[in-house]
Amino acid sequence: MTDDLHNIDPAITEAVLANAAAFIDADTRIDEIISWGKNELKAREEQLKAKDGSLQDFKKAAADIELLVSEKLRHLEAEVRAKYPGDS
Amino acid sequence: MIAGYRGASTTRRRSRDTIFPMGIEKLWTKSRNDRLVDPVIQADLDAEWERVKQSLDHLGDRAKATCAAIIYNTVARPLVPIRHRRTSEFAPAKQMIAGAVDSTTKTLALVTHVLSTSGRATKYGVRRALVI
Repeated sequence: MTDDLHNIDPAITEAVLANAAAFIDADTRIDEIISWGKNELKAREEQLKAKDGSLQDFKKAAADIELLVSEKLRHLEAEVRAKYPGDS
Repeated sequence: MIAGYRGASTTRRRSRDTIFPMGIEKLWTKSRNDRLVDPVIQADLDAEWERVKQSLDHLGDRAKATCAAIIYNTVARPLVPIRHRRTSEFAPAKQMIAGAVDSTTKTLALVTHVLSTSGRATKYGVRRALVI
Protein backbone atom coordinates (compact mmCIF):
# COMPACT_ATOMS: atom_id res chain seq x y z
CA MET A 1 0.00 0.00 0.00
CA THR A 2 2.85 2.41 0.80
CA ASP A 3 4.34 1.69 -2.64
CA ASP A 4 1.10 2.87 -4.19
CA LEU A 5 1.35 6.07 -2.19
CA HIS A 6 4.72 6.93 -3.75
CA ASN A 7 3.14 6.83 -7.19
CA ILE A 8 0.62 9.55 -6.38
CA ASP A 9 1.34 13.18 -7.04
CA PRO A 10 1.64 14.92 -3.61
CA ALA A 11 -0.69 17.71 -4.77
CA ILE A 12 -3.38 15.15 -5.57
CA THR A 13 -2.86 13.35 -2.28
CA GLU A 14 -3.20 16.65 -0.44
CA ALA A 15 -6.39 17.58 -2.30
CA VAL A 16 -7.87 14.17 -1.64
CA LEU A 17 -6.90 14.20 2.03
CA ALA A 18 -8.49 17.61 2.45
CA ASN A 19 -11.73 15.91 1.45
CA ALA A 20 -11.17 12.64 3.29
CA ALA A 21 -14.17 13.26 5.53
CA ALA A 22 -16.44 13.46 2.47
CA PHE A 23 -15.15 10.12 1.16
CA ILE A 24 -15.56 8.43 4.51
CA ASP A 25 -18.96 9.96 5.10
CA ALA A 26 -20.30 8.80 1.72
CA ASP A 27 -18.83 5.34 2.29
CA THR A 28 -20.39 5.07 5.76
CA ARG A 29 -23.79 6.33 4.62
CA ILE A 30 -23.86 3.86 1.72
CA ASP A 31 -23.05 1.01 4.12
CA GLU A 32 -25.85 2.21 6.41
CA ILE A 33 -28.36 2.24 3.54
CA ILE A 34 -27.40 -1.29 2.48
CA SER A 35 -27.67 -2.53 6.09
CA TRP A 36 -31.06 -0.83 6.39
CA GLY A 37 -32.24 -2.66 3.27
CA LYS A 38 -31.12 -6.04 4.59
CA ASN A 39 -32.66 -5.44 8.03
CA GLU A 40 -35.90 -4.24 6.46
CA LEU A 41 -36.11 -7.37 4.34
CA LYS A 42 -35.47 -9.55 7.39
CA ALA A 43 -38.30 -7.77 9.21
CA ARG A 44 -40.64 -8.23 6.22
CA GLU A 45 -39.72 -11.90 6.08
CA GLU A 46 -40.66 -12.33 9.73
CA GLN A 47 -43.93 -10.48 9.16
CA LEU A 48 -44.78 -12.66 6.18
CA LYS A 49 -44.00 -15.83 8.13
CA ALA A 50 -46.28 -14.68 10.94
CA LYS A 51 -49.05 -13.81 8.48
CA ASP A 52 -48.62 -17.03 6.51
CA GLY A 53 -47.35 -15.17 3.43
CA SER A 54 -46.11 -16.90 0.31
CA LEU A 55 -42.74 -16.89 -1.43
CA GLN A 56 -44.23 -14.58 -4.05
CA ASP A 57 -45.06 -12.09 -1.30
CA PHE A 58 -41.46 -12.25 -0.15
CA LYS A 59 -40.18 -11.69 -3.68
CA LYS A 60 -42.45 -8.67 -4.03
CA ALA A 61 -41.22 -7.29 -0.70
CA ALA A 62 -37.62 -7.86 -1.84
CA ALA A 63 -38.26 -5.98 -5.10
CA ASP A 64 -39.84 -3.09 -3.17
CA ILE A 65 -36.84 -2.87 -0.86
CA GLU A 66 -34.37 -2.99 -3.74
CA LEU A 67 -36.23 -0.08 -5.29
CA LEU A 68 -36.20 1.88 -2.02
CA VAL A 69 -32.47 1.27 -1.51
CA SER A 70 -31.79 2.27 -5.09
CA GLU A 71 -33.72 5.52 -4.59
CA LYS A 72 -31.91 6.30 -1.34
CA LEU A 73 -28.53 5.73 -3.03
CA ARG A 74 -29.51 7.92 -5.98
CA HIS A 75 -30.52 10.64 -3.52
CA LEU A 76 -27.17 10.34 -1.75
CA GLU A 77 -25.29 10.52 -5.06
CA ALA A 78 -27.25 13.65 -5.98
CA GLU A 79 -26.33 15.16 -2.62
CA VAL A 80 -22.62 14.44 -3.18
CA ARG A 81 -22.86 15.76 -6.74
CA ALA A 82 -24.41 18.99 -5.46
CA LYS A 83 -21.53 19.44 -3.02
CA TYR A 84 -18.89 18.54 -5.60
CA PRO A 85 -20.09 19.94 -8.92
CA GLY A 86 -16.75 19.49 -10.71
CA ASP A 87 -17.80 16.10 -12.00
CA SER A 88 -20.55 17.44 -14.24
CA MET B 1 -76.52 -10.44 28.71
CA ILE B 2 -78.30 -10.61 25.36
CA ALA B 3 -80.73 -13.51 25.29
CA GLY B 4 -79.66 -16.35 23.05
CA TYR B 5 -76.18 -14.93 22.39
CA ARG B 6 -74.26 -17.52 24.35
CA GLY B 7 -76.22 -20.41 22.83
CA ALA B 8 -75.68 -19.24 19.25
CA SER B 9 -71.97 -18.87 19.74
CA THR B 10 -71.61 -22.34 21.25
CA THR B 11 -73.54 -23.90 18.37
CA ARG B 12 -71.33 -22.26 15.75
CA ARG B 13 -68.16 -23.38 17.49
CA ARG B 14 -69.43 -26.93 17.84
CA SER B 15 -70.25 -27.32 14.14
CA ARG B 16 -66.83 -25.95 13.12
CA ASP B 17 -65.09 -28.30 15.53
CA THR B 18 -66.91 -31.22 13.92
CA ILE B 19 -65.41 -30.36 10.53
CA PHE B 20 -61.91 -29.58 11.89
CA PRO B 21 -61.47 -31.73 14.99
CA MET B 22 -58.16 -30.10 15.96
CA GLY B 23 -59.57 -26.54 15.63
CA ILE B 24 -59.16 -24.44 12.52
CA GLU B 25 -56.58 -22.11 14.08
CA LYS B 26 -54.38 -25.02 14.98
CA LEU B 27 -54.81 -26.48 11.50
CA TRP B 28 -53.68 -23.25 9.88
CA THR B 29 -50.71 -23.00 12.20
CA LYS B 30 -49.77 -26.59 11.46
CA SER B 31 -49.88 -26.11 7.70
CA ARG B 32 -47.87 -22.91 8.01
CA ASN B 33 -45.25 -24.62 10.14
CA ASP B 34 -45.14 -27.48 7.66
CA ARG B 35 -44.45 -24.99 4.89
CA LEU B 36 -41.78 -23.21 6.90
CA VAL B 37 -39.77 -26.41 7.31
CA ASP B 38 -40.38 -27.58 3.73
CA PRO B 39 -36.86 -27.91 2.28
CA VAL B 40 -37.97 -26.87 -1.22
CA ILE B 41 -39.60 -23.65 0.01
CA GLN B 42 -36.68 -23.00 2.34
CA ALA B 43 -34.24 -23.44 -0.57
CA ASP B 44 -36.25 -20.99 -2.71
CA LEU B 45 -36.29 -18.52 0.14
CA ASP B 46 -32.53 -18.88 0.66
CA ALA B 47 -31.90 -18.43 -3.05
CA GLU B 48 -34.02 -15.27 -3.10
CA TRP B 49 -32.19 -13.96 -0.03
CA GLU B 50 -28.83 -14.59 -1.72
CA ARG B 51 -30.00 -12.82 -4.88
CA VAL B 52 -31.21 -9.77 -2.93
CA LYS B 53 -28.02 -9.59 -0.84
CA GLN B 54 -25.85 -9.68 -3.97
CA SER B 55 -28.05 -7.11 -5.64
CA LEU B 56 -27.87 -4.73 -2.64
CA ASP B 57 -24.09 -5.19 -2.34
CA HIS B 58 -23.73 -4.47 -6.04
CA LEU B 59 -25.83 -1.30 -5.68
CA GLY B 60 -23.65 -0.23 -2.73
CA ASP B 61 -20.38 -0.86 -4.59
CA ARG B 62 -21.63 1.06 -7.61
CA ALA B 63 -22.72 4.00 -5.44
CA LYS B 64 -19.33 4.04 -3.69
CA ALA B 65 -17.49 4.09 -7.01
CA THR B 66 -19.75 6.88 -8.28
CA CYS B 67 -19.31 9.00 -5.13
CA ALA B 68 -15.53 8.44 -5.17
CA ALA B 69 -15.44 9.51 -8.83
CA ILE B 70 -17.60 12.59 -8.17
CA ILE B 71 -15.40 13.77 -5.29
CA TYR B 72 -12.19 12.86 -7.07
CA ASN B 73 -13.19 14.66 -10.25
CA THR B 74 -13.87 17.83 -8.30
CA VAL B 75 -10.97 17.94 -5.86
CA ALA B 76 -8.13 16.15 -7.62
CA ARG B 77 -8.95 15.80 -11.28
CA PRO B 78 -8.15 19.45 -12.09
CA LEU B 79 -4.62 18.77 -10.82
CA VAL B 80 -4.05 15.89 -13.20
CA PRO B 81 -2.96 16.93 -16.66
CA ILE B 82 -4.23 14.28 -19.02
CA ARG B 83 -3.47 14.69 -22.66
CA HIS B 84 -4.99 12.92 -25.58
CA ARG B 85 -2.53 10.58 -27.20
CA ARG B 86 -2.80 12.18 -30.64
CA THR B 87 -3.92 15.78 -30.19
CA SER B 88 -2.10 16.54 -26.92
CA GLU B 89 -5.23 18.46 -25.85
CA PHE B 90 -6.46 18.11 -22.29
CA ALA B 91 -9.00 15.37 -21.91
CA PRO B 92 -12.51 16.28 -20.80
CA ALA B 93 -13.07 16.39 -17.06
CA LYS B 94 -15.23 13.28 -17.17
CA GLN B 95 -12.25 11.15 -18.13
CA MET B 96 -10.36 9.79 -15.17
CA ILE B 97 -6.87 8.40 -15.23
CA ALA B 98 -6.77 4.65 -14.88
CA GLY B 99 -6.63 3.55 -11.28
CA ALA B 100 -7.15 7.05 -9.93
CA VAL B 101 -10.05 6.01 -7.73
CA ASP B 102 -8.12 2.93 -6.59
CA SER B 103 -5.12 5.03 -5.61
CA THR B 104 -7.37 7.53 -3.88
CA THR B 105 -9.12 4.82 -1.90
CA LYS B 106 -5.82 3.21 -0.94
CA THR B 107 -4.44 6.54 0.24
CA LEU B 108 -7.54 7.15 2.30
CA ALA B 109 -7.44 3.65 3.73
CA LEU B 110 -3.88 4.16 4.92
CA VAL B 111 -4.54 7.62 6.31
CA THR B 112 -7.73 6.64 8.11
CA HIS B 113 -5.95 3.60 9.53
CA VAL B 114 -3.16 5.80 10.89
CA LEU B 115 -5.66 8.30 12.30
CA SER B 116 -7.72 5.55 13.92
CA THR B 117 -4.81 3.71 15.49
CA SER B 118 -3.27 6.92 16.79
CA GLY B 119 -6.57 7.99 18.34
CA ARG B 120 -6.98 11.09 16.19
CA ALA B 121 -9.91 9.86 14.15
CA THR B 122 -12.51 11.85 16.07
CA LYS B 123 -10.53 15.04 15.73
CA TYR B 124 -10.65 14.75 11.95
CA GLY B 125 -14.25 13.58 11.80
CA VAL B 126 -13.34 10.05 10.70
CA ARG B 127 -15.95 7.63 11.97
CA ARG B 128 -14.18 4.46 10.90
CA ALA B 129 -11.25 3.39 8.80
CA LEU B 130 -11.81 2.24 5.22
CA VAL B 131 -11.02 -1.40 4.63
CA ILE B 132 -9.43 -2.44 1.36
